[in-house]
Amino acid sequence: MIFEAGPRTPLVELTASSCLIRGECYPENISEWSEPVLKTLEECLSQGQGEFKVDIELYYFNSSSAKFLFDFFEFLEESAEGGKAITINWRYRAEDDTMQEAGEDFEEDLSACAYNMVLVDDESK
Amino acid sequence: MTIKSKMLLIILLGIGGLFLANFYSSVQLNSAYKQYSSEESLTAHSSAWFSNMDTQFVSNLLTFDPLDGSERNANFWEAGFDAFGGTGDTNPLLASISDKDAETAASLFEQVFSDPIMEDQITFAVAYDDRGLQLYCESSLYVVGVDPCAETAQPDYFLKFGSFVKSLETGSVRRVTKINDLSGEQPVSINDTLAFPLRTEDEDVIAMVVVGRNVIDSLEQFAENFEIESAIAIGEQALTVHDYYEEERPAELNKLIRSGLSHARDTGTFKYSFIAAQQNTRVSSIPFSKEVRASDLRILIFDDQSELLGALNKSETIAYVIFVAVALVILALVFLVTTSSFNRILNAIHLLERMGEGDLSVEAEDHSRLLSSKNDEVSRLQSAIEDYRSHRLEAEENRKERAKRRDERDTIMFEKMALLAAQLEGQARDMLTQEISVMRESVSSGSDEEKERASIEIMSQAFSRMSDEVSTLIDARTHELVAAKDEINSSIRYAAKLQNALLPKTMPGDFDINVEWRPRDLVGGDIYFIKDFPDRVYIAVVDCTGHGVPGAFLSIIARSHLDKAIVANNYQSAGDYLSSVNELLKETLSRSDQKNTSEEGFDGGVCIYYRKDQRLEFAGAKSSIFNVDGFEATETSGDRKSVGSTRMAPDFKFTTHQIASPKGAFVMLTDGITDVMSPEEKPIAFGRRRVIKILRESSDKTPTSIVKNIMSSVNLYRGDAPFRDDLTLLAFSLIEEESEIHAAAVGEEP
Repeated sequence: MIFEAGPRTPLVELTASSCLIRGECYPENISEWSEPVLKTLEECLSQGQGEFKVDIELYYFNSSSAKFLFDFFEFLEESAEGGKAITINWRYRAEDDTMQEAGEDFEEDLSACAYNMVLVDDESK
Repeated sequence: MTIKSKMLLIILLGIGGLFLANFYSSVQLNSAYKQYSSEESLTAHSSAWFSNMDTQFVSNLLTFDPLDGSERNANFWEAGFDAFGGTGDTNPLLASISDKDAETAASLFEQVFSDPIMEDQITFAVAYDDRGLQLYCESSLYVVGVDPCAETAQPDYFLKFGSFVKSLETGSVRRVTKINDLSGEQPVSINDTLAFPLRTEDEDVIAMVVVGRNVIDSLEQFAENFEIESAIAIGEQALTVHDYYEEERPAELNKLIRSGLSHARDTGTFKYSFIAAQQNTRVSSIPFSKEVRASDLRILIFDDQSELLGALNKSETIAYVIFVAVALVILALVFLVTTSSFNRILNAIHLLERMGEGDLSVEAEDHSRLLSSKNDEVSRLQSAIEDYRSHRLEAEENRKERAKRRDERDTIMFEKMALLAAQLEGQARDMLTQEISVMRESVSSGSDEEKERASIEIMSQAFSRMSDEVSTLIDARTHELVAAKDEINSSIRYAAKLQNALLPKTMPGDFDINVEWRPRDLVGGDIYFIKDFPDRVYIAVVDCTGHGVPGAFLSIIARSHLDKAIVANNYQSAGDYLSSVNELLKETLSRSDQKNTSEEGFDGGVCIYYRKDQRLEFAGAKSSIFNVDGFEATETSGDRKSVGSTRMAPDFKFTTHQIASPKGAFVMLTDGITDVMSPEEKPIAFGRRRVIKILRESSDKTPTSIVKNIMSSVNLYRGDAPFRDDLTLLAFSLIEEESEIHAAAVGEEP
């Protein structure tokens, strides 16, 4: 399942074993966008048997999108607590201290999921 | 001239040309053949003649030769031998001649020659003594022409007797001897002769003997063998067998002889062969013998060729007949094919002409006929025309179908127009009604194309009418929308005025404060708050969730709680202060909407400066305070929690950060600054590190220049990209010298 990137929303690719979120996230109405994403995530998690891998590479999200990310991670955390093997890779670029800090913030709330801060090379530089 | 006539004419001319070529080649061939057969007959005749003559000579004359003759005969002339029946060793003939005993000699000669003459082996024999006197002469009883022994006979060698005698000195001589009749009664006789001398033992020539054969026999035999007529030509004279038998020469033969002689005269040649066309006879001339010149004596041969020529003529005639017949058949066939093809082409042309006149009902003729096939050119032309015709028919059908649909469409149009007209009033109605009737007129008359044009015209007019109506409606709607937008805009502008009014207008005298406050829209969720009490100053920078009007509403609530949470008379730490704002806000929001699930609340920082202790306290909700003093810039971060958030416990205690004896400038800001994004595909936020860097590197550390530096940096960083959020940047520093004065002044105030 793919949610194409919009001008204010990131690309989301969901499969039974993985989830990729990449781009910027600051929609006018976050719940309008996030509800189908979260619903699909739920379906994917229930379908897949093995490990579930999550890659997140965001460049910007606004404060209401932060709420979505909280819900998102909370859902993953609950699944992980239920026995699902979940790995989350928070990908950020060296210059992007804002996203680095945001990633570190989320890490604090997660314990059941394996959480990695992954430094990526920005190929555009 | 039609193409068909031209084609026939060309074929006719072609056949004529072929005929001429054939004729020419056949003539050439015939003449070559005649030429070849002439040479052939010339060779054949002369070799036959010579061989005949030679055979006759050898078997009849040469036997008398003293050297080459037969033993019996040769012995007669042997000097030391008696062959006449005696026993002596002298030849009685030679002896008698030497003794001039003419009588004995003649009788002895007779003994030799009488039998051969009687047997017609030789025609005559003559003997002369050395003075030319005739010793003996005897001739055949069946002699023809002049008798060689007659008184009037004159052999040609008499004319040059000396040289004749001399020619015999070396031995015997073969010669052709003409004997003339001096009386002219008898025709000249031509003889093949052998002349030889008689010699004594001393080799003295004492006599000469001439034996001869009249060639007329050979000639007769020759003519018989070859089934030809012949003649002997002596110069300009001719001699035939008929002359010897004293018969009248046939007239035909005379003519041939004349043409033969004249041919020799005309051409100057004496060995020739040609065909006398009149008599259908080949006239050949061959030399008489090797011993005489052909101009003097030759044989004329008249060979009847009528059979051969007849065959040649017949074959030529047959060839011409066949040729003409074939030519006629070809001509007839071509005529048939072209006529049938051209008739079909004419049919096709007729068809096309009819189609040009618009008549599509004529069908092409059936093309399966004799001399034509399904895939010949004309059939293909016909089937192409037939295809074209069926396409035209189809197009005609389509056209009719289109016309029908057009009529239906027009009818609908007229109905709609009439309906529209019915809704109008007065002059407009009359005009439209009149227009409709004019249109009805235009679509019901004229050609198909004119009708089509008229129909399109009607459609466009109808559309134009309708679009007029619609645009009138749209104008009305647009007007409403513009009015509504104006109203909203003026409301928002007014709201902005109100929000502006909530911002602090006066600054504490002992503070140097500079603020950049910029809602993304006219109003926003950002707000800053400064409350000056005698002993302390509250400074807050707050970013409420959302922006625009909802943000502004929330900012008003936040501001009222910031106000309400101040405990003015007792000590209140910054953390406690922020905690009570959180408590108040949560209470308000949960009361207003039980089902609130969104993250309403705010991030932000608060500072409380206690003048007496010269102490600055800071508490932050996802916010920091930056301090720059000299070359040192530091960041003090607040708690990572949002005020009022549903995730937030109402009794959460925010941390208080103490800054004793604050120096330099302090900066508070909302994420409108740090979240300014670079204009790339994968943008990076401006971030707090850049803020710290600017603070560290600014040469002028006054709040005014700090705000200016950060703002210009931010604007440079975002490039063309618009601001995404409301932003607030507040910088302040303490004016130290005046602080005591101010404190005293404040102290006096109540």
